[in-house]
Amino acid sequence: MVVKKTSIDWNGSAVESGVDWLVAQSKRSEFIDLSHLWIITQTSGASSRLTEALAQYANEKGSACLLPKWSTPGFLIKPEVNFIDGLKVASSVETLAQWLLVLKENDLSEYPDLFPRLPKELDVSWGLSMGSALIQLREILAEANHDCKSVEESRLTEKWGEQDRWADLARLEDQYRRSLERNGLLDPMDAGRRWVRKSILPKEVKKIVLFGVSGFPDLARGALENLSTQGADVESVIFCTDSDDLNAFDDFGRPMRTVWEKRPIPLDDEQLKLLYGPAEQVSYASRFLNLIDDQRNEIVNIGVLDPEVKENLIVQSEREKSSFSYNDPEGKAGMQSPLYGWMVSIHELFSSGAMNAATQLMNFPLTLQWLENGGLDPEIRKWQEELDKLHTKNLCQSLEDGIFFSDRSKFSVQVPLKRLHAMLADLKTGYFEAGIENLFRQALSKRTFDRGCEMDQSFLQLLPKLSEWLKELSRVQGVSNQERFSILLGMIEKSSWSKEENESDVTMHGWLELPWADAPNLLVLGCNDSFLPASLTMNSFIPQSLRRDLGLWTDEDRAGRDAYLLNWILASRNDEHSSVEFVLGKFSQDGSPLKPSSLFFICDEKDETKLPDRAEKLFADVLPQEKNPAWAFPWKLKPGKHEKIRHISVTSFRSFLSCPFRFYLNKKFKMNEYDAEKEEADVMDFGTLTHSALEVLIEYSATNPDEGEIYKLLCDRLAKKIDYRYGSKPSLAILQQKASMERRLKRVAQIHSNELSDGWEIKEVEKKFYMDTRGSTDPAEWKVLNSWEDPLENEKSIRIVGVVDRIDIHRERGVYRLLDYKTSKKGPKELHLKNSKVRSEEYPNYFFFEQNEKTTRWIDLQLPLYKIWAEKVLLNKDILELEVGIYNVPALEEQFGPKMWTELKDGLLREAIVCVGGVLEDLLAPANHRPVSKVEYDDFENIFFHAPEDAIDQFSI
Amino acid sequence: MTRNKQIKLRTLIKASAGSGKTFRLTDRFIYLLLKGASPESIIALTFSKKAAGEFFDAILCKLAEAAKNHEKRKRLEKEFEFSISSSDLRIKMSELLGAMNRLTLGTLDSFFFSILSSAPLEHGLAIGFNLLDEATEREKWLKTLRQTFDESVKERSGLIDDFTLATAEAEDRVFFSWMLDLGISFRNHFALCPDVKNWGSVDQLWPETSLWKQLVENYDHVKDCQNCLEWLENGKVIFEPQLTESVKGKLSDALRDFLNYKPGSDLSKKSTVFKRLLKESMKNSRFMTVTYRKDFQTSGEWVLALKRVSAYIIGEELKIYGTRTQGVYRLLETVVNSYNHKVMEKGGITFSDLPILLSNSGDELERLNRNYRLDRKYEHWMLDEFQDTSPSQWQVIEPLLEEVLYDSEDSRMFFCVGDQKQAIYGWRGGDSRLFGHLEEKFSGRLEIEGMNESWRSGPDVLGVVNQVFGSKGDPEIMVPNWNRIWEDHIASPNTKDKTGNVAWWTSKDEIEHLQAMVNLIKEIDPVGRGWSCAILTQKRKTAREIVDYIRRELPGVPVEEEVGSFPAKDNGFSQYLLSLLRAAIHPSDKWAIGHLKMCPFLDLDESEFDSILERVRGGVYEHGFASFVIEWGEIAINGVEEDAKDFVQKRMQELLSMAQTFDKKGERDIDLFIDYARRNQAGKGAMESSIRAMTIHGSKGLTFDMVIMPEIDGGSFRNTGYGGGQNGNGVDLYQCPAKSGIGFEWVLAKPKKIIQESDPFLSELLETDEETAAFENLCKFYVGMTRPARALYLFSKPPSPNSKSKNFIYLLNDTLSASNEIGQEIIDQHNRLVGKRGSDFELAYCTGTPDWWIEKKKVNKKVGDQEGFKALNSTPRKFRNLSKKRPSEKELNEITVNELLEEKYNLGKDLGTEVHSLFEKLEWWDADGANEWLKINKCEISDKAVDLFLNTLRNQEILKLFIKPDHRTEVWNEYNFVFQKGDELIRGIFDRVVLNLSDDESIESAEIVDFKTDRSESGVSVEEMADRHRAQLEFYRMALSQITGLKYQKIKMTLIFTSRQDLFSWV
Ligand code: SF4
Repeated sequence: MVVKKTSIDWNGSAVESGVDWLVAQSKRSEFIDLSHLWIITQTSGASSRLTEALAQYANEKGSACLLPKWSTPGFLIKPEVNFIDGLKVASSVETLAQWLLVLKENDLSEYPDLFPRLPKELDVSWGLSMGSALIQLREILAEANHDCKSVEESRLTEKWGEQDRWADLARLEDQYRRSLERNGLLDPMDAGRRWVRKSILPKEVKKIVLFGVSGFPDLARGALENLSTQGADVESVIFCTDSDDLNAFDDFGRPMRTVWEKRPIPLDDEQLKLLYGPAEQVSYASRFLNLIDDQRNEIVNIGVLDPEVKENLIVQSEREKSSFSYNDPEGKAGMQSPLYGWMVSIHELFSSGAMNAATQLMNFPLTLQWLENGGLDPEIRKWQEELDKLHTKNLCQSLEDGIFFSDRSKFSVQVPLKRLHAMLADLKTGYFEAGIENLFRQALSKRTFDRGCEMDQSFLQLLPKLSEWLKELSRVQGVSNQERFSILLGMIEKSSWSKEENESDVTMHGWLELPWADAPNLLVLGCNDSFLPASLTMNSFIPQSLRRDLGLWTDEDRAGRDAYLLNWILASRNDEHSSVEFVLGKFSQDGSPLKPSSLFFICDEKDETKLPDRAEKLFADVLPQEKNPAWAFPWKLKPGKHEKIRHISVTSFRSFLSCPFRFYLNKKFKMNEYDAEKEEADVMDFGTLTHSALEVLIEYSATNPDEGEIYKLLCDRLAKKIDYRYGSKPSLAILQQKASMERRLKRVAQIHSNELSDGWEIKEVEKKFYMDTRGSTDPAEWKVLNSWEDPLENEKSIRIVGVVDRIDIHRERGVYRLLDYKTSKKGPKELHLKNSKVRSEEYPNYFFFEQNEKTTRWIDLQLPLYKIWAEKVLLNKDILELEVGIYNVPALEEQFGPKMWTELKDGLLREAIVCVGGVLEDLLAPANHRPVSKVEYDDFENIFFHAPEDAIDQFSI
Repeated sequence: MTRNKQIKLRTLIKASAGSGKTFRLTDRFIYLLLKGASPESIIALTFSKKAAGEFFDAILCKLAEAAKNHEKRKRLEKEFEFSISSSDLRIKMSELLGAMNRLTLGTLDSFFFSILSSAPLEHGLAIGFNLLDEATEREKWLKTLRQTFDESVKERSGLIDDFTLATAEAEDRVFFSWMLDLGISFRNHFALCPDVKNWGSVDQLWPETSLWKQLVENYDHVKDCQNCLEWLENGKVIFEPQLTESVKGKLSDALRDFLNYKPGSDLSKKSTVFKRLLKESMKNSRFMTVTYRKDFQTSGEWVLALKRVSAYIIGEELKIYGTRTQGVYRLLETVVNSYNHKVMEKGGITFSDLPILLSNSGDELERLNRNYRLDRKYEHWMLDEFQDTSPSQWQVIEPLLEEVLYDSEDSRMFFCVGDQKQAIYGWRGGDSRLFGHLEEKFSGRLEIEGMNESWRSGPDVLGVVNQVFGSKGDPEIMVPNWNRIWEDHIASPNTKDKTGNVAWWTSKDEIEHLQAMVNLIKEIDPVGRGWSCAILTQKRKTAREIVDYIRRELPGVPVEEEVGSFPAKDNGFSQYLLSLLRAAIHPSDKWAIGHLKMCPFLDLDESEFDSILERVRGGVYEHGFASFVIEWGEIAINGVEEDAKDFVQKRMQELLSMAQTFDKKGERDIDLFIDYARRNQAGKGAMESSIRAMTIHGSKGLTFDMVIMPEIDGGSFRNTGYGGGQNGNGVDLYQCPAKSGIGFEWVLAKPKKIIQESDPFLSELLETDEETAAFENLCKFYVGMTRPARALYLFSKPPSPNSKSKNFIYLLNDTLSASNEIGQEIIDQHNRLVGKRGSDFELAYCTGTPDWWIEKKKVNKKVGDQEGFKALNSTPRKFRNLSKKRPSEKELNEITVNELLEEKYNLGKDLGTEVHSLFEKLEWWDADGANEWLKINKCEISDKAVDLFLNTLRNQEILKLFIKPDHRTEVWNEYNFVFQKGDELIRGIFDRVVLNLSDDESIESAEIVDFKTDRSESGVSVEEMADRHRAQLEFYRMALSQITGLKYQKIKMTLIFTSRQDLFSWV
């Protein structure tokens, strides 16, 4: 094959000179007819730009243009037909599925040199990543007309001790091929290699032109040869200085590495700009672009080489709502579509069956639409509320759990949950592809898509692909639905979609497009090492040395090619009306250092200062533009109006005593956090469950108390409670907690049997009480009420509500004792009093009293209030004495059992009453409290930031 | 080049802080290059990525300078002892720059990562493994645990029993989160001490001579206790001097505690006398001293009985800890294995896995040709900050280093720099003992050199550093290991004349310190003057609090904390965004809802509230989190108070980039995002223009003009507070380092301090631990005090003469007090710096020049001026952008899902397109040659399509179009065309055009034929179907008319519907 080499002067716009050259090729004079040409450009961007220019050229002549056949080099090795040699060319879905099967069905331990250490669980995810890696390996090899087998046969890796590994690879590849063949399929890479020998020259094409192509896979050369034997001329058109320079290129117009990696690049220091990070590059670009508002794209083009800069440009322009937006010709990843997010969520539920997956899935608009179109009226807020409850209260593990409990609680969310369950069953056992398709048909049945709408683009572009993949999947045999699902997700991940381009959009050109981006000014961002030249990703099968040996493209080849392109870009804009500037970052987004592109250092060896100066410039320190503003509260939170409090429970005194301001805030807003990660009973639940088991003690009476009997009684009750709350199949965590409770109950049983023998009996458990203060701070004035409904006496009345866990009586001694269970180990004094004056000015005075010359602060008033109530109702002529205390049920045996607070009488009790009185007065006429600066458990930590006073306003009155 | 004598190839440099090791390292690198080493053959590893970047910058700048400047070149020549030309240097620069992407210049971690990437399968990893961030790792742990628990319920495995063991006699209310924490915190312990035998087997670990091992079987301590009590009370025990009644009482009480002892009870709560008795009786002596106000001595049977009781108690306690440890081991075994299978082998690894994976790979690695896989051969090694290398890292690199150090040709370089005095990463596995190990093991092969000349600090700071750390004072603090390595620091010629200042103020009141510090900053105004300034603390929390304080007191002074800034939760703005998300999916999150209701700019009533949340939810699922941040962030920014706007903008930016990263995963799980955001730490950097508050650890490697240390108190140096592995749940493991330096000999849940102190075996270990702790504490403060170049300001409580705590204040007082005689004038000068203070605020020490800082004037910082852009006044390019239009199907604006899922939208080749492709190839139909034609063209096309094709041609009218007419014609099949119409670019493909030519080849008329594969719908006429395509055909006609110059009337348009074998024409 003879290839004719032609040069085009690279000064000035490549598009203009390219068009001139093309027009001269027209086979007619009346109009531009290029239909006899097959023009291969490096990128499809180049051909569309040329097309655009041809149209305008023809238009000037009052005509139109018949275009050549355009393609990129890769096209030469991609089969245009579905079948080759009677075998169907496998699609990517089929390829991946086939690999999955091969990896699953073969005993991989028979490939010890390929898999020296097999992981324990060879599941789908491993299979897919391995399969993809092998596909990728074969893709790379095919570029140089190789496969695993041919590499093995070449014995090129023998000297590195890797021959056996390649032998394994070749054997596995053979398995894969055979498995394909059994299904009548042909691997696409194999197909490509055959295709280059079989491709047919389109009838009208007379000449194939490599038009400014700077690199293409070696395999394509075979295709060219084949086509040329069918009668096509092959010509390579090269942009360079002049025809003398043509020997710096090979026959196909590819720049020769050895020439270009040394040729000094005519670059001025002013054309290079070193900036701190992506943010700086972004604002530099937008300053640049904002200088022009008319015909922006005709005056400036932008190239972006660092993907991080690209992302930042897009987001930043969205944020600033700037007059133009950036267009990324590469599009967005399929992963970033709402459709993918939904699929992932369904997949999560599919593979785990977990309730939290179902809960997440319920929130998707697509799920709700799916339900709605299935005839359900979505009440999402209500459902969410119920789902929260199912989680917090019942800790539902599986979707089945969720259905069971929502059924029992008569929650309306049971209906959608059941639908999900049915859908899942369908996907699992039914015809998977149809299942997925139906899902979409139903979810989107009421929605239409508009080609002009940005939000619709992902659906418009991905749904057709999806249906294609589903169709291909349905042809695959031998893979489970689980595997099908994973393959499908993988396909969406790898796909891409883009928004429709607007004329005003600024396109972010890639490196290869830049010679064709011919606006007079060019700004290239992200010109750092590893993006320019783009380095090949590390591949554990083919290191660079093997690449070289196999005739594959190496990093050096790329550097040479890019050096040529850089020369070309500079040459195309070397007059006073045009400019090029290269911007590079010192750091990446996460602060990792970046290096400048090595291309900028190809200087004239003889020049004594150029290289050192350049290095000093590009390796210098730079400062960030970012301001470093001081931390500040964004706004003062406004708690709004104070609300009077007329009811208070005994237990919430503790919260008042810790910080009245927070107490009021909490009363108003009920600042409970939802714990999405809850996996087991929290401390509250744990206490509640233990308490509720302990209630059963009242049912036990025996003259000869038996520890064992008591224990059994307790355990039975506990089991019932747990069963009711968490279902018959609770999680391991609950089982452990149950065991932990049982250990405690065992000790209770022991103590209880002793106490019974001792003469104690339980009189009441869980005794609720209500008192009306009647506007008085003196408990003597308070009235005991019968129930919550009893009306309060006057407008200054406050209702105090409490529950005594247990009331014991010792008839012989004439004593009552009131006990409060605690699963912690703190005793009554510890729980109620604190010896400290720290920050005393922040609390009301009545929190404090003097005791044994020490200032003591009340931190709880629970037991005093019990006592106050009990003295009113319990004492009678037989029972004259009252004790209150804590019954500790902690983990440690030592601290176990009742601890009475015998000192709580007389003076101490009076002090308590003073404090209670203070609280009650405050509830009716809230003083203007300021938040206490530090509390032990701060619900508001995350909005107060150590300076509550600055964080929040006072209540308005 | 002559063979040099000066440069030693294998050197270990002990470089004190600020002694210019980077300078030495870069020299070495350049030396190697000049000696002809290829850049790829040098591996240079530093502590951080940032340091690696600076290292490379420094090499290049040095080369560049030397290439241009004769003097600089001369210095190198002198250093290297060979002559160097400018062009040599330029050539080396090009070489180095050309090899940039092949260099190995980074951290140990990144080096390990690349080894793993070169051979994932050999290390049991999936291809395409990646590093998990902290939040993802936690998420994976959560999932693993859920699964493991699930499996455990099914298989009835003994996890619960193991847990019961592990928490024997300890809190056991929480299980799941306890396990989560256990797994995350101690995963590596399991790898570093894999043998179950070494976990908590006190029976084997303790020497046979231990007293508790010598007790008789079924020993009953009650008996002994009762005897002791009885003897004491009956006065049968003789004390010297005689016991007073009150002491006797205390002793009896203590004995009763012995009597009532139950295994697992909390001994730390017992009386002092109890603890003393326990400790004393465990000593190896027949005599016993009871100290209570005075010493009382005794011996005899009473002592022996007490010894037995104590031994019993110690034994019982140790057994409990042993049991717990075994429980912990069993739990770890289950969950760690499960995690490794489910996460790690699938490719989810973390930094700490890197060395472990590499060192576990054994034979495989031996076989692997690493040079080939990595594409380079490492000839020369340069290691920086060696003291921070961990044993497991060392295990990986040791064999590689051996290769270099024992290289027979003596041509390979090993250059290692470190400072044991700065070994502050012990808690993270760094082990400065490796330094000694290296020194010892390679003693014959290594040149050892010290560098004590400081190029950073001036004489004032150095003087204090020498005085404090070189004092060889109190042996409990100045441990032998420290004294052995200490050498006094001297100021370099560059720094020896710099003025500076060191001052130490004390006060009991913390607020006084804070206020003094604020005044100091106000007075000096480092930011305004351009002095770099850091505030170094021991705890992150303190740094954070101080930053808050300064911000409040000195609004407008930029101050930034460098560690632990969590942009998603450290401020109200981010919290508001998170609250929106939380409320949007959890109506029961009353916290979030309450918070939103308090946000002044939202001002919501109930109904609006729900619709807002609805919008938030919908938006997130449709557009992702980044777009959520933009939309809702902007709304909030309008409500932000003016002086907080800059700050909020910054947080918004950080949140945005966080959201972007999360979006890339394609996940839309709101709970997961919240968790991710909360755990996400902001990147550092960009701090240069602020006062920087950070921990001493974070300041490693940095230099500042002035340093303030406001938190120098703390526990005794010998406290072993950290160093052990404690996690959030109070699981505290003592790990006995293996003699080899790698991994742990054994592990034991750490007994309470009283047991540690009483048991002779443990107390001996404790002693070593304490020395290590003291050493590490010295390191920490050494690092802090060597950061400043000019001035160091210390604030603390006053040293108290009674306090026995040997902390840093004690050391300062001990070492600096001698020079405490300061004149009043100097005191006043210093005190002026901190403003008027309370009465107990005192200057405890000072030296140097208090006004060193006036050297620089305040400057108004210029905002970086922007250069003008060139050539923007150029004229637009010749060929413009045109908006693109394809005259294809009618523009459907209301496409349904069914249409999108339908075949015609698909990319695949279905029946219709197959038929189409046959027509594409057909020029004229020749009934006779038909079979031949089909044979050539139908390959790769299904029979069904061929049938359809033939059927279509059976329609006579259609067939007519393909019968070659008598006049001259030209046929275009599949011709691409383009033309411009106004501002639009119109492109299309003619399926078929037949040009009718006159004899002179000019075009007289034409016919456009287009094939349609629409499904035929019943009840729709051909006319109706054709009408849908009319617009398209009009475009084609326009194009053809433009091309050929034919009038419209001369162009006929025909549609062929292959599905119904029908046609329609317009004339
Ligand atoms: S057309 Fe689509 S993208 Fe544009 S505003 Fe409407 S919904 Fe959003």
